Amino acid sequence: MKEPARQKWAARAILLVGAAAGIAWLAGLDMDRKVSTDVLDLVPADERSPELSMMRTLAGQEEARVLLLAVRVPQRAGEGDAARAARADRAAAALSRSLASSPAIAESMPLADTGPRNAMAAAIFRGRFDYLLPAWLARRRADYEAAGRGSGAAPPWHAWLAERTAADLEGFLSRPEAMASQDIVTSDPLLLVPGLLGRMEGLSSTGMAAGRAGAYSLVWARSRSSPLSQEGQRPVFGAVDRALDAARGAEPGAELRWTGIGRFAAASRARIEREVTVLNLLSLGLVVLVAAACVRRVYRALHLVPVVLGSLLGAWVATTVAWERVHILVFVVGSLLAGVAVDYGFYLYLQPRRRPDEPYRERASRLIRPLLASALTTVIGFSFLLWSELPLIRQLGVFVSAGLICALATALLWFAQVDDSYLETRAFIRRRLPAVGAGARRAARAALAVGAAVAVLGPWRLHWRDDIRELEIPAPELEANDAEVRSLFGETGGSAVYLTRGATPAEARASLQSFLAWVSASHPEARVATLGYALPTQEEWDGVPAALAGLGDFPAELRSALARHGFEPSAFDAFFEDWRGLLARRSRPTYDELAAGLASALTGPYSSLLHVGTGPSWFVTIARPAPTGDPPASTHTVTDSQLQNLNQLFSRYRVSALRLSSVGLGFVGASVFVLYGLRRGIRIFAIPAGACLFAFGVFGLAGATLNLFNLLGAFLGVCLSHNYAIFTAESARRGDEPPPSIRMSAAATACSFGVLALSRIPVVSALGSTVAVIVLAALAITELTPLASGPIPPKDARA
Amino acid sequence: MSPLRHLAAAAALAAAVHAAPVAGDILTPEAAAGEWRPLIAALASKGALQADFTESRFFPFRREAMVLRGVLRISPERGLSLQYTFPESEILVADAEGLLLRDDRGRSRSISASSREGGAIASLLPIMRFDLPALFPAFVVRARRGAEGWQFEFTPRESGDAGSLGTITVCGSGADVRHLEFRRSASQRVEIDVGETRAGAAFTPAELARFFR
Repeated sequence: MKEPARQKWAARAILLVGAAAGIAWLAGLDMDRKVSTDVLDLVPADERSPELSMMRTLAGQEEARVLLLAVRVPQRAGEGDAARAARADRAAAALSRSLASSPAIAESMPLADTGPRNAMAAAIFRGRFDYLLPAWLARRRADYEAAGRGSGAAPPWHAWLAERTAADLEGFLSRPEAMASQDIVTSDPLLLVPGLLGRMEGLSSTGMAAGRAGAYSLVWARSRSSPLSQEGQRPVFGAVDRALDAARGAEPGAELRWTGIGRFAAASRARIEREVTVLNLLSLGLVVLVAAACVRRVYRALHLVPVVLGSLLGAWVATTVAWERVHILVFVVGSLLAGVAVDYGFYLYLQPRRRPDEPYRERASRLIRPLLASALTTVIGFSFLLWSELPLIRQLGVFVSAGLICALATALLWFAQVDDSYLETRAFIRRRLPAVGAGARRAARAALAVGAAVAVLGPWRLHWRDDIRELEIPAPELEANDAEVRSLFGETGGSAVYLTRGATPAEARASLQSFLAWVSASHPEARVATLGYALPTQEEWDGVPAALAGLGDFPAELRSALARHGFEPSAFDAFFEDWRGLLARRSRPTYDELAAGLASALTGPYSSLLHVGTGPSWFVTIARPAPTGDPPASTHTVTDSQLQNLNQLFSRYRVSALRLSSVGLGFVGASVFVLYGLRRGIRIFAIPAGACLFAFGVFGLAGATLNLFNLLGAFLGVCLSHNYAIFTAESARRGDEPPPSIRMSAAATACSFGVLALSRIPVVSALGSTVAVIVLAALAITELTPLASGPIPPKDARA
Repeated sequence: MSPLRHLAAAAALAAAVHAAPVAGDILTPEAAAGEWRPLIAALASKGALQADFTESRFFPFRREAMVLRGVLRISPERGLSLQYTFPESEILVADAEGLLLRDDRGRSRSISASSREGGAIASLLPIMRFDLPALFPAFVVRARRGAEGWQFEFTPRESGDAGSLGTITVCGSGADVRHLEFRRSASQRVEIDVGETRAGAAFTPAELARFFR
């Protein structure tokens, strides 16, 4: 059959122009900038979730740029541990010097360098009356009032305080740790600094204070750029390689272990890029294979490839036009389009001619109604995802919608410009299951009944959980290395790390106070350490002038009390001099200045312990043993594990996606009812809805835990199986058997999504397996329903 | 956090600084094989022991020493344990892993031996074991005999890990340690008088769990 030349050239021209424009657009893109691997790009920029804003801060600030490096040297024959450690220190020093000289590295220091901690300790000691005295006064006042409630004749506050101070000092000197503080107690008889050190003890086990771990000497460094950007990866890796060379120059044979977020980010990007390539090729290959197995002239199945390519090209272009940055996961999941887009090729290409000379336009016009019905209802459904809060879901909505429209357009145009646009299928793909009597009918009914039971009972057993880490390919070797390096730095199990936030330093400190009260009340066995102890609350800070004014002649009473407790009061002259300076001070910093002053004293690894300045403020707290359960929301505190999985946030997104999917499905269903009427519409819609419930039932009975992507997969599966129902109904309306294209489409889709189910990215696998189960279930329903309801009477008999 | 670490080092047993060297033999790896060998061998081979002790802490800002009492235990395998019983209950363990402080509620704090200050604690262990080969690289070791017995003085060679402990003097008679001193100056020192020693003590598993790491 020769098609009109004008039709063919017009179709070719449109295809060529479209393809050229699309390719030109993509070629002009800076893919490194356009395609993101940052998981934070998956969530809205204006998301106000506390965990996420905290995570954004952590990722965007210096804390995410930390590199932890551990160097050791091989032991020489007869060499003692001390000598070996000294050589490791030399190697670490050379490594650190080399890192510090790299433009990619902002800061580097061996942890043996006591400079940062000495600077912090000195700053706190110098500012002890500002940082520590307010809370000390508040605590003592509370003790005084508690003691005074039980006795009628309580001593005056300042006399009580002097006596208590001297008694505490005497008690302190009998403690083992007193010997280390003896040089400072004459300047600090209130024990402000020793008290802080005692409460901060938990931080010392984090490894930040240790210069060594076993045979390793430790180095802390910070990259200049975010580890999630290209600048924070390759240049940093190069700097580390050069630094190792420098270390080996100083100590031959030096070995390095190191970790940093950039290593994960780079590995993740590389793995996902490989995954995109492999999944797309495999998916395309399987679709072509399915087609080749089902058609007579295999080479002619290549006519389906342009349909898939046109679909993918359109999807890529639409998505990259619509968004400044597109997450790479969209393209991974987008590989599913190969299995969906080919459907329209099947429907057009495999549709038999009514008569040998039936022109393409006539044949296409017969199919345009079900094609448009299936494509547009799916597009309408996916368009609802544009209202999702989650950029990833919005991007997927556009990707799939644009891809489907382009697939349909490409299929219509491609087959319009070939002379022979009919591909005959092999006999087996057209063969219907024989309806041989009551036995087969009973078996079909039993199978449908079992499926219905699964669909009704199984979904109740479903569990839902989202974890942002499932958006990435696990890297067990990197994770093991990370855990080992972090353990060298003292981050071992049994403790929990908390971040307490606030919009301002004062809010964060107030929340920290609530959190510490929660730990103290609910987990009294836990030791907590936080640099927040070095900052008073706003209330304590504001109360200092009045508290000092109410102390009367505290210095004289303290001298007397010290003498009574066996001390030489004159040895404490330095303290009394400082106290006079405190009372004589005319101005004092604001609370924000106080917090900023403390933060500015923290350098190197200590700068991660608190954050004030741009964005929210927060404090790190370490608790050991780890308290059970999450802190109350009122404490504005999250654990680092909550930050790692963002489960609560993604659960909210899942609910949002469920709502949108339901509305989208409602419109899909409504459009079917409009096109086919209520009765036929219900029969059509029952197939995808039943298949979807069956799939959830299977997952529920299997004990699977589902996530947001299972939900998206279900939505897609429903839209796809909805196509089969429409084409089956259209065939039934014409008195035909269901076309073979349904089987081929279902097989191709199941293969395509089956490939996705093999993905190492858990959420992609979830999406793939869900769609595959739904389309196979829909195909089974489509095949079994006619059997269960009896054989289709011959066409001429009905006539 | 430096003071905290120093705390750990000092809390192991004490104060210190350089005292005037006393007359006596300077032991070297070669001289150690001389007349001191039998005594050192006897001290080193005492095995597990337990003794009461009284610790006097002298501070320049106090008229009188602070006195603490308790029970000292040494296990060749587990290290040194000081169980303070007066004026407060607390257990201090110094072993190859570093320092451990355990209060009477069972809550503990520890500092690794691989840290610099923990390394100071680790350097104490050879003294408690009279492991001279391990001591020679870090300390100048002097020994002398007097009317009441013998005295070893360990002076740190440099101000490294061991240096933070200052000069340590160990006195005794026969094969028993009677007195230890950690001296920074005349007014800053810690003296430990060891009571009757029960050598060859066999610690029960419960005691090992309670008093050691």
